[in-house]
Amino acid sequence: MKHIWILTGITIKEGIRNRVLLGIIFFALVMCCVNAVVTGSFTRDLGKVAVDVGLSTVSISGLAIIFFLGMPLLAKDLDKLTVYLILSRPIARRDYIIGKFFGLSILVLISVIILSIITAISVKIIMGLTPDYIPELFSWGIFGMAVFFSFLSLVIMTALSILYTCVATSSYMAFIFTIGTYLIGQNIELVRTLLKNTNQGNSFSISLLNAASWVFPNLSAFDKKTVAAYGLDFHLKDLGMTTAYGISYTLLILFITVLVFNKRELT
Amino acid sequence: MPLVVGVLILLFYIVSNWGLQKSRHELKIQSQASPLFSLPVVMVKAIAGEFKGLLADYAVMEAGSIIGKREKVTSDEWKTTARLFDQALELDPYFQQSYILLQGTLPWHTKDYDVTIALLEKSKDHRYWDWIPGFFIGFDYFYFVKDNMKASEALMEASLVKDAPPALATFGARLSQQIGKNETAISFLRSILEKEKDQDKRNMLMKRINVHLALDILEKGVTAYKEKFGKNPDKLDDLISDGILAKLPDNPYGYPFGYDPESGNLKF
Repeated sequence: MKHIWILTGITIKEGIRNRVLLGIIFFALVMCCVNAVVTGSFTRDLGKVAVDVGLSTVSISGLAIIFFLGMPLLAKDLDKLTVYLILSRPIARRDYIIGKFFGLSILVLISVIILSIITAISVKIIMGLTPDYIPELFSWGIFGMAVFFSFLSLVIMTALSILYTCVATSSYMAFIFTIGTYLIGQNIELVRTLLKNTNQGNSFSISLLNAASWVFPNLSAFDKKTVAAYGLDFHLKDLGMTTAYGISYTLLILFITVLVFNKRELT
Repeated sequence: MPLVVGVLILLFYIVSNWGLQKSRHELKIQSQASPLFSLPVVMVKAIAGEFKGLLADYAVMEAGSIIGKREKVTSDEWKTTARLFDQALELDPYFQQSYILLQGTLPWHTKDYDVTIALLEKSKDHRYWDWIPGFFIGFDYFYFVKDNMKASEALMEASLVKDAPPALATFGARLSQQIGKNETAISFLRSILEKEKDQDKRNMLMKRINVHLALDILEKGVTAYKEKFGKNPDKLDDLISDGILAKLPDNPYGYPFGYDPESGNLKF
């Protein structure tokens, strides 16, 4: 456990030293200014538009951290074989993966917290300037819930990016796999629902989609932006199940990653 | 030497940027929607991924830019606008800006009332706390489609939404009476009265119910007159003089009821 925390600490330090994090936070600040401009183009539900832009900024920035900070950090260790420096010490490969995962997840968490605070401030300012155009049911509690689920989906993507970096022969391939999984994860539920409701799919394609829904993460379940923007009703059972699903999927991916990494020849 | 090169590059940039700005200024305002919104709704949803709300905002902005352009909006552009609203409401059916903007433009400039009403239905189905989409549907049926029955149904449904103004219920009931369903109007207003706590609104509703009750007596009187004499009475006073009613009910609003001897319809 001690090794895991050491590796977690190293990953966080590496991430903070990297200028990408600063760039992403700068992007978030720019987006908050853009938020004010975009919101000014509307005359109704201005609070909703502000939340849309704000939470989308959180998601985009979180994904950017995974793709442009997390994946290169891990790929650099494997490509330049600096991983030897770590694994030559009495540190298990499992601890290396888990340490990296925790480190990257904490980096994502830090950035999500910073971005959410910046976003919340911009939303608060916009709502303060246009108090008559705030969605009636809006609540900061639901806004926080949406941020939490956004973070959870980013944690899943972090775990998947580590898996693909360990499996793929190049960081480019890992990048492509992760992007592909993200896109599939966002749409698999939509396609399934469509085929189910329209009876357009044949039994093979439906079976294939059903199988895929067990392999790829259902990321659309974590998208609570609309719920947050309007303060819509939600079921606690649904939130509980989504949280459990996110945690279990992440654990499963980490387990598979450890198995793969244990078998991988680091030459 | 480097200074001269730098100044030349700067001059080149200034001239080219000036030329670009001039040529762009002469361009007509772009009135075609992004090719993205020409795709089927499902594909747009798939492309939007977790940014559906953001893309809905963008679709509404594009619709607004077409509607707000200086030149006259062509019929093709109205179709594009309707498609943009459709896409926006599929991506985010809760967005108030979509239905406000579409109601303020589409039915007034196109005759595709069915399209407008279908789009408003999407808003109404999702915005369960908002009576306005239902009111717009009722208004469109009444004003554009001239279908009082559907207008009455839509208005009465909208009046059931929390905080809806009581005028929706009374107007819906009035339309219901005009299409010969006065009893429906009475029972609907009574159901609204049962839930209403505000005394002023209760008084207003009771007054309106009394109007419909009075109309009910008169309508039955006219029917009885027609059965007896084979024609509508020439005026309401004939109901008394010919022994159908002992006296005419009072209109709680203080003015006489309207009566059309041709059709036998009563108004207030």
